[in-house]
This record gives sequence, structure tokens and C-alpha cells, in this order.
Amino acid sequence: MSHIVIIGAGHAAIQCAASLRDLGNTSPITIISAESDLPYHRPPNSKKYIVEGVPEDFSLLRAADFYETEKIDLLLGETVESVDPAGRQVKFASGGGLGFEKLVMAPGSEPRTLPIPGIEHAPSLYSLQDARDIYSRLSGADTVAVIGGGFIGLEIAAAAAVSGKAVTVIEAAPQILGRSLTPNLAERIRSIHEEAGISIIDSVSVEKVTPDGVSTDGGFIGADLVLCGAGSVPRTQLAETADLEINNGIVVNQYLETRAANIYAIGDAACFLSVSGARRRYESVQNANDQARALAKTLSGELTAYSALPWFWSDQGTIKLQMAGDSGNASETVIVEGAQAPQVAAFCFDAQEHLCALETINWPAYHALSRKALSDGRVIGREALAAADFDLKAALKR
Amino acid sequence: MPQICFRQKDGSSQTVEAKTGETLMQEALRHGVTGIIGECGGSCMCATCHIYLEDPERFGLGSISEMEETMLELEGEDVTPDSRLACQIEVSPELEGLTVTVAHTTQDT
Repeated sequence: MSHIVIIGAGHAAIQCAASLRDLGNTSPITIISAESDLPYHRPPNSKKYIVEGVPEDFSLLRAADFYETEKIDLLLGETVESVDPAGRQVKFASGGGLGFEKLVMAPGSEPRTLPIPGIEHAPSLYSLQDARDIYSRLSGADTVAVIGGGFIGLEIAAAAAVSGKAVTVIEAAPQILGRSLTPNLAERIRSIHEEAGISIIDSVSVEKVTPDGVSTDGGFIGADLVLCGAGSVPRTQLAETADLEINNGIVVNQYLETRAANIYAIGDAACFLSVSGARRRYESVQNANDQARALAKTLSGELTAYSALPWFWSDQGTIKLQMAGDSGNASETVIVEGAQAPQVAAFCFDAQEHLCALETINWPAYHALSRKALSDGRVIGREALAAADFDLKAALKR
Repeated sequence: MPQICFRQKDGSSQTVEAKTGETLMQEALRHGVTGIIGECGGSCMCATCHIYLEDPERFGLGSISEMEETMLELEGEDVTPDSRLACQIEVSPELEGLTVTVAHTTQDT
């Protein structure tokens, strides 16, 4: 039986191991994690744990005895230093190594570090340990400044605001969520946050972070605690040691294979060839889990191209932001207002005027409907939607 | 701490002492109940903790939110009037003796 080694212990890594066993694959499996906590759900870190504290029985990806039961070797607190593709071996930073027949790289992403003096005063949030550290510092702070107005920055800001802190978000671009969301929805989310008391300052560059605040080209912003939520970057350092192709992540084909034989990449760090032929890299729970399932099939003898519909969510205070589909293919967007304000949907259409993505604020029914329809491969034309007055449920019934 | 019975479709079952205040999904995960994944961590985003309630009215579990209902629709024909997402049910002393059946049989859904 060929030994499968999985680097990483996030959603992708654990789902891959679990799916291998579900498929009846009895190969020896070793999971190597640099973290010392049992593999856990990451989303609660920013949505909950930083303000409520990390409970002792934090949310595990699988029950504690899962690994033993399924005969999966879980190495915690072990850092892989390099990968030797020809010798089929990973080397540990602590010395020693481990041979593999198949290697699954699921290293994830890590917070973007900004080249700013004093940035060490502004911790970032990634791991459970980061959440513990930030919680202990946040509990003594009345005012908080968050550098970055993307998903992670806004989730941190909203969580801090809900817990009673006075929060300021500092964004370098003219608008928050600029890279990831339809402008109209970004504008709406900004208004909701501002109405909830969060101050959002755009178009400023951070020049320096000090223990008492942030200096920007637009002035000084005082804060008891400064947090950095400036997005994340794929972890590619290990892939570099293996001389894999790197371009916005670890480059893989539609089967999630790197250019080295028997080495695969999944999750946040994998830049894959999508069904539309475009290169995509997603930092999401869905992408991690679905890629893990596809790869487990391939590793069990059933060559499987990854083709799942992307979906994503972000909880920010009272805002439930949900996205289904690939808005990267959108050439036109139609904004539709819901009855329960604030409730908005952005219908994204591709060049053929077919629905390719739906972004919603506080509209879970539309999210679920579009996700199912797009997953099922249904073609939803702009005309059909217009004829139904953009009532998605009615349009799908036709 | 109420006793809750998780039954599989093959008839096997596992009774767990569930912590009040946690969700049924978290308690199932903690005890390694087969077929409950909770892929989204309990955000009502994925339907990988789909269960069927036995006698929901008796336990005051008759109502369901619109969000949960639409998420369950992703499950297609597996959905019945007794379908719920375990992540949306909070454990309380009133749930003593509740039996649920797990919708999916493998670890993977």
C-alpha cells in the first residue's frame, strides 16, 4: 500500500484523509501539522473566539479519537522544512524525515504581513493560538483599530464592535472589499457597518504602528489595540523547496497535480485550472473540502477533475454575506432589493447573459436556490430572470 | 445533561450525554457520531449535519427558520418534514430522551 503524506491540518488536509478512508482506501496516511492543537474549524476564530475566548472544547474538525480509529497518523507540532520530490521524502525542521509515495500539500494561506515600521504591534489572526492571544489583549481594550477592509478585517472589526469596542477600520483602497465583491454590495456593507458605529477610513496608507495607535498619511488614529487584517497570501515556501511551479499559489492542473509526479496541492494555496479554463485560487472552506474529496478519489484510482461550484460566506455582525458561483466570469451585474432591508442580491451574468454567480446580503434563501441551481448545471438566462422580475424562485420554476 | 440518541439508517445507535447550550451538531461531532460532519462549523451553510427528528413536537422542535429550510433544500429528495440541521438545534434539558436519525451513512456526505 502506498504511503500518503498530507502536509497541513486545515479543512483540506483532514477532509482528504477522511474521504480516503470513506472510499475504502487503506493506504497508510500521515498528516503533519505545525500547530499543536488538534485540527479545528478556522471560521470561528474571527467570527467568535477573538471576542468570546477560545473554549477548551473548541470546535474540532473531527472527534479527538477519529485519527486513531481511522488509523491516520497525526503528527502535531512538526514543521516540514523541505520536500525532495525525486527522493520522495519530506524533511522535518526538527531533524529526520519521512518517505512518501504520494504527497498532498495543503499548507493553506497565512496573513499578509505589511512592510510597515512597528507592524509587530498589530497582531494578525490565523491560528487558534492567535485567537487566544488576541482575545486576551482585546478584553482590556476600549478602542480598536483594524488595518484592512477585506473579509477578515471586517469580520474582526464587526466582532469587536458587537462586543462593545469602539472600532476604526483603515483601508488603503477607496472602498472596502474592493477586490472581492460587486461595488454596490460593498457600498451597502459599508453603510451597515457605519450605522452600527464602526468608523471606516478609506484611501489612506499606514505609515507606522505604535502601541497607542496608527500613523497614516491622513493623520493619527489612536487605539488601545491595533489588529492587522490585511488579507492573506498562499503558503508556497515548501513548494519552492520542491521546485514546483509557483504563480499566485502552487500551480496544479484540473486533477490538482503539481508538475512533480505524485505531488498534489489542495486548499487555499492551490492555484488550479477551473472548468472555464481560467486559473483560480480560492480561500474558502468549500474549496478546501471539495478539492479534498476530488483528490481522494484520484488517489484511490478514480481520476477526478475538480469542478465544484465555489461558494463562500462571511458573517460580519448582523450581516450575512453569501456568494455562490464564479463572479470572475461576470460581465454584467443586476442589483435587486429584498423586502427585509438590508437585504440585497447581485445577479452576475457572463458574456452569454447566463447567471454565473449570485452575491447576497441577508438573503439565505436566494443563496441556497442559486447554489443548487448552478451546481446542478442549470442555465439561468438574464431574460428569464427579467421576465420573472428577478424573483429567483419564480424564475427557477419556469 | 440530557441523553440524546443518534440512530443510523442501518439501525445501530449511540446515546450521548449532550451539553446544555451546545448544538446537537457539536455534541455529535464531539462523540464521533458517524455521518455528522458540520463542514461549515455550524453557520447553516452546508447541510452536512442533516438529521431526522423523531416526535419533534414533543420536544418543542416544531419550528424551523427560513435559512435552515432553504439550506435543507440543497439536500433534494432526502428531505422529509422531520428534517433538521443539527447545528441549528440547541441542547436544552427539555431534549432529554430525544432520538434523531442521521441522514447520511458515511463520514463523508
